[in-house]
Amino acid sequence: MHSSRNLKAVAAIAAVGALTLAACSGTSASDDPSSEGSAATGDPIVVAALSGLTFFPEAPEAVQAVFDDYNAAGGLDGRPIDYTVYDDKTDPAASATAAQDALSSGAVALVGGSSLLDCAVNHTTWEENGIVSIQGTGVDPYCFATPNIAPTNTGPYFDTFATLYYGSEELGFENICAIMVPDEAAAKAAYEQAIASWSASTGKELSYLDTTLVRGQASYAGNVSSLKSETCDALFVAEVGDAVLALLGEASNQGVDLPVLVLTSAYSDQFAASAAYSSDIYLPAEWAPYGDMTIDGMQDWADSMDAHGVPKTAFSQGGYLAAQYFIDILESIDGDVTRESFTAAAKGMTDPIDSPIAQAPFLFGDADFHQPNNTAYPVVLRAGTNEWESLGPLLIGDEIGWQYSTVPAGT
Amino acid sequence: MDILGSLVVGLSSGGLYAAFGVLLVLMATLTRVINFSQVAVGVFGAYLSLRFIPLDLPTWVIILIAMVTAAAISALLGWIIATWLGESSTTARSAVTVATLLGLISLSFLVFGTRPQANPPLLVGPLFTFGDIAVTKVGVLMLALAVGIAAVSRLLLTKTSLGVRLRAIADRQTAAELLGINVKGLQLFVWAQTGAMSALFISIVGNAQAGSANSMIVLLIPAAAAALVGAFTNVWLAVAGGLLVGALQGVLTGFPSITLLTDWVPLTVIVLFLLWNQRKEVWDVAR
Amino acid sequence: MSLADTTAATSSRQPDAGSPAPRRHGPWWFPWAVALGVTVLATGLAFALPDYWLLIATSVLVAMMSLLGLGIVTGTAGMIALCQLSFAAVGGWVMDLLMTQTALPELLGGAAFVVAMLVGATAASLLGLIVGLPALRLRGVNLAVVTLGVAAALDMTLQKVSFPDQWTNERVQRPFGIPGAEDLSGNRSYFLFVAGVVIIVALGVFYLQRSRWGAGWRMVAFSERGTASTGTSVTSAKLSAFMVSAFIGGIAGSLMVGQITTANYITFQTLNSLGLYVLSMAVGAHLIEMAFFGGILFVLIPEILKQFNIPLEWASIIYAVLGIQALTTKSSMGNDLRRMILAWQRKRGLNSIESTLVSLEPVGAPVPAASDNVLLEVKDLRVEFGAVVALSDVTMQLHEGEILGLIGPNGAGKSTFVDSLTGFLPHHTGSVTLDGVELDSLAPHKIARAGLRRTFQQDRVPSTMTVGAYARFVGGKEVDEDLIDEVLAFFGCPGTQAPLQMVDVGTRRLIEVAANIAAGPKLLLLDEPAAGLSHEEHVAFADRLRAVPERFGVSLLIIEHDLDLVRSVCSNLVVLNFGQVLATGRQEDVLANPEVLKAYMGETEMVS
Repeated sequence: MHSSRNLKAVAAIAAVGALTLAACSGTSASDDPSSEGSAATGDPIVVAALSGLTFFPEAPEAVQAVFDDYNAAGGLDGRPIDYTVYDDKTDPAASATAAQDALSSGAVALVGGSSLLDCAVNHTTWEENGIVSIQGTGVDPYCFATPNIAPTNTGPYFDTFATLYYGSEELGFENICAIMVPDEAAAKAAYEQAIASWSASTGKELSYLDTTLVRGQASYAGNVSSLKSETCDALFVAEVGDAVLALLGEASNQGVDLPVLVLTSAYSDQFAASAAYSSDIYLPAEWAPYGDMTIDGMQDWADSMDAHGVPKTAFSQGGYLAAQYFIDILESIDGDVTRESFTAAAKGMTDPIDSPIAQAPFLFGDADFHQPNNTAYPVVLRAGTNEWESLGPLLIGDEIGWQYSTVPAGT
Repeated sequence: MDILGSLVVGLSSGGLYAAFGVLLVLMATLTRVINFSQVAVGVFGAYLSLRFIPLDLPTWVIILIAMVTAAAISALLGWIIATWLGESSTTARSAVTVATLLGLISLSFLVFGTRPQANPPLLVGPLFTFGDIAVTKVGVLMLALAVGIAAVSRLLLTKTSLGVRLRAIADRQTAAELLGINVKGLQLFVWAQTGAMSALFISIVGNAQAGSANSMIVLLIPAAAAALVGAFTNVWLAVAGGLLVGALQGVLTGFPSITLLTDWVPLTVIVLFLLWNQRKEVWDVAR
Repeated sequence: MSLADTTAATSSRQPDAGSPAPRRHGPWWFPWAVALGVTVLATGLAFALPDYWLLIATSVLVAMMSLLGLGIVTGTAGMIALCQLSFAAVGGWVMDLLMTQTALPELLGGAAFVVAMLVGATAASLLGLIVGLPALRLRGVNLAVVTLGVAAALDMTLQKVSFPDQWTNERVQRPFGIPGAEDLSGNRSYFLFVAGVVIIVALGVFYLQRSRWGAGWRMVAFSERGTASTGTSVTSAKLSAFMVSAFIGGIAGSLMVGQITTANYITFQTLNSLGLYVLSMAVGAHLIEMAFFGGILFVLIPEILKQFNIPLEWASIIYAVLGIQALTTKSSMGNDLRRMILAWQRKRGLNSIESTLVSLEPVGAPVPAASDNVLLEVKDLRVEFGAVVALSDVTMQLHEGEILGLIGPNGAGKSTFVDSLTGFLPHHTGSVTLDGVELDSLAPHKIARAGLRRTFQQDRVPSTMTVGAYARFVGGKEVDEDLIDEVLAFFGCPGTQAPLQMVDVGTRRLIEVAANIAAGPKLLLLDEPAAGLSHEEHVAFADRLRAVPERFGVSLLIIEHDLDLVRSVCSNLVVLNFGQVLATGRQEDVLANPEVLKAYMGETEMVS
């Protein structure tokens, strides 16, 4: 009697599964080489990345697209690049395991990784094993403050500085109130440094700062309500896209319509389509605005993404750039390509790679920390519209008093 | 810091908790399930309905799609439980919904992605304001829905023959079956109704409170806390519980110095209230 | 399919329905031999596995640890706990604090980790105690909601305070100078360390499951009233389950942090606790080898998905499907396996489960006579439920050595009377005295210990134990094992090795009566003991009962609706009607009383 019931259960489960599969189809990565030429068939060069595939799916896809084109065009003297992405599941344990997996695979470098915590968990592993990482999208402060990681993006701390700077200096907001989720201790310290850096540069202070937020809050009603009794002419929100939307939704409900300054993590079409806010939302784009094809190199990026079916987003820009930088450094190596020779080549870099998409040249080099990109291009989502609009001008960190992020010294 | 303002605002956000709390109580009393997937089916239905926006359908059709989807998922879940766990304990029946919650969250990430969901709220803005204090439209509507559903269900259960049958199936499924009541059909009816209501709530609050699949669990917790105030048996206490949780959250945000305690206060208050309220209920009902 | 399985499957208050009994008591060295074998195997693996797979194997062991802890609350004690990783987080956090922010590593060197781990686990078990406290009033699934709330609140607190290693960017030192996560060579030694800890904890769990604590957890999963009636506090059973579970969870947390040498709240998120809970339901994590198997699934499914480049979210969906499958079939992989082994043993005649009551030679004892000593004195007992008076001013006496019958029509208040005597209705008025000891204000388990025990109308014998383990648990700490064997044999019950889940429900009730007699109370209340027995069993049962006061020194109070048994064993009767004593006295006199005839038997029995 049990067996037939079991069968029914299995059938029900299978039906759910089939539904899911049907719903999921349509997102499959294409890996057919798009350009003609003598495809590389030699001994592959192994490259790896750790990425939170759930949160940044298109970043490694963009890297793969660049490598596919490169391999189809003959690779490095006939040697193709063999690229593997390890999902870190945004979990420290999974990330540490993935790091060892990547090392065991014999990877010569890590390219285009996009993760919320990869740098914090693994930077010592990279240092200890003499491998370098050209991070696609770095988030935690260790991505910007350790010797073996150089990210292509500017990161949330420079973003904080840049968006505040733009708000106070270009838009003329006198009383900026801030609501931010502090995250881990090191990230909190880096945010505080960024705000201090802005104060030092502009002589201004935040009118109000609420750091009681946590990830996954059920309601922001209390936070918005507390804010209302403060004097603010703009609101700075440091959170990820969906949380920003929730907070702005609550703000709208309570009748708040202050201009808002946010971080690059909100820079997506989905955010623009979802926001229903009655004032302008500003953010500092980490790279050239992804919709702006007038900038040098943007058309090539767009063509490559389209050819491989990768969404054209800021994250795929990061992956694309990381892969480009990797190939540049790879081709500069004399002799055998190994982890040692690649690390030596990256750390021995003296001539920066020019990159209009990043709006800043890329240099790895032999420093204790790397933050090659500290430029931002302000964009705005005007009230009542569904599209980001480029504003400019380009903000260059070194020119406006940016002080680089640091992490606790450790042991 | 304006405590009164926080309190009022907390009450407004508590409307949603109260509304879900009422659904949880109804599920617990009528189907003997603490439905951990209650919010999840609503969120999943709402997100699926967003995929129909490009077809230029009117908003009410989109919401209808959300409600029908959520009702269907909820009824499927109810069917699984009614079929295989008809006479099992509340614990065993509820455990299934923990598994489906886990499945729905993961499925949602896979199907709908992790970017913000384009579900702008249906109602935006304050209903009225005095000074800095705003009473939000959505909060008032949610509270009205919570009270309305509670009142209608009470009437239904006490005054109609449907209600009598619903109450009959709640305790002893087999006994009710012997009396010729279509137990499974009625239970699926309850599952579908609460599923549809969940989707309606989520469609109304939109991404102001349900912007990602994480809300499936994030909203469940205060809603379950609200239902817990009513010991999963009393809809009115659940409404009060929702408001209590919302108000506590609102007021406590105004005291950043005790930020570490803030997250524990609602839980502690509820547990203490329950310990007091249930002080005579030392032994389980069954002899 | 046996009758026992069917009843197990339809019993309503039974979270762990049909779960097999613990393994038969093998030779004492058996667990140690297994531990030794595993140690040898682990050592072999440590030197045979490549670096990466060592890391995976370590993850398997750590996951197993979490499941082992969870299995105690969910599998054994039958509660839903959705905050297992909160316990892990507290354990890991305290360990992290001691290792990175105090002088402990300098003071203790390589052993510091172990000390910090134990302190962390103790802190976790304190949280377990706090989480368990509401269990004093909140039952079943309400408690699950509290654990969910705890998981969410702790998640937020961890976000705000961070793990201590993050404050100063200082990694946690692994035990005994094992190199940290960045150095691949450390993986082997750390794997061995984790394997050692897991073996020790698994041995501990093995013995705990077989101890009185473990039996208490099984009992409480099955019936709280039943547990209290055996003289065991429900409160301490639940709290000890939570505390032990949290302690093991705390150790798991330390091992997790030690594996990565840094920690982040994300590892311990509520969602991950839910996943762990669902997996524990799927595999049946209260069984040690199944916790190990669960650990393998927990790690291997994502590994396989990785190989095929499938998003890891699918792993959670697979766990969910496995969990639903297990829950809807009221089983788990572990239980299925155990059941197969039991069926095989049964086929080979290793486990006799049949009752031999009918085939026993009749004792032929007369109806026992009362002595002069008053054993139980009930005065003016009154119970009200709101406006309804269930018992009003009931006064009666029971003398040592007698079998007193308490009869009355349905709804007369018989069960209310038993409940108030045994402490389940604390709000009664009047007084109850047993052999000079006031029982009124005592909790049920205290009353049981004072020498007044009861059996239940419904099946209160947990199917998850063997006959012997159950009888030893009911008997209490000082029970005489020979006496248990003797009483069980006296009532023709199956042997002590028989798993209760294979025993039919009628025989289980015989076992319940026998075990309670073996516990040696002064007075035993039997609540409708003959229900469900066949006519032959009925006659044989009555024959045996008549010999009980003389032979085992236990007086009996039998509550019956049906008069056959009462007629054949009781010297005196008390008749209840509408909550009042209608008549009391010698059996013949009472049964001849016209009032009694009218109230009780008028319509049915006397007509025939």
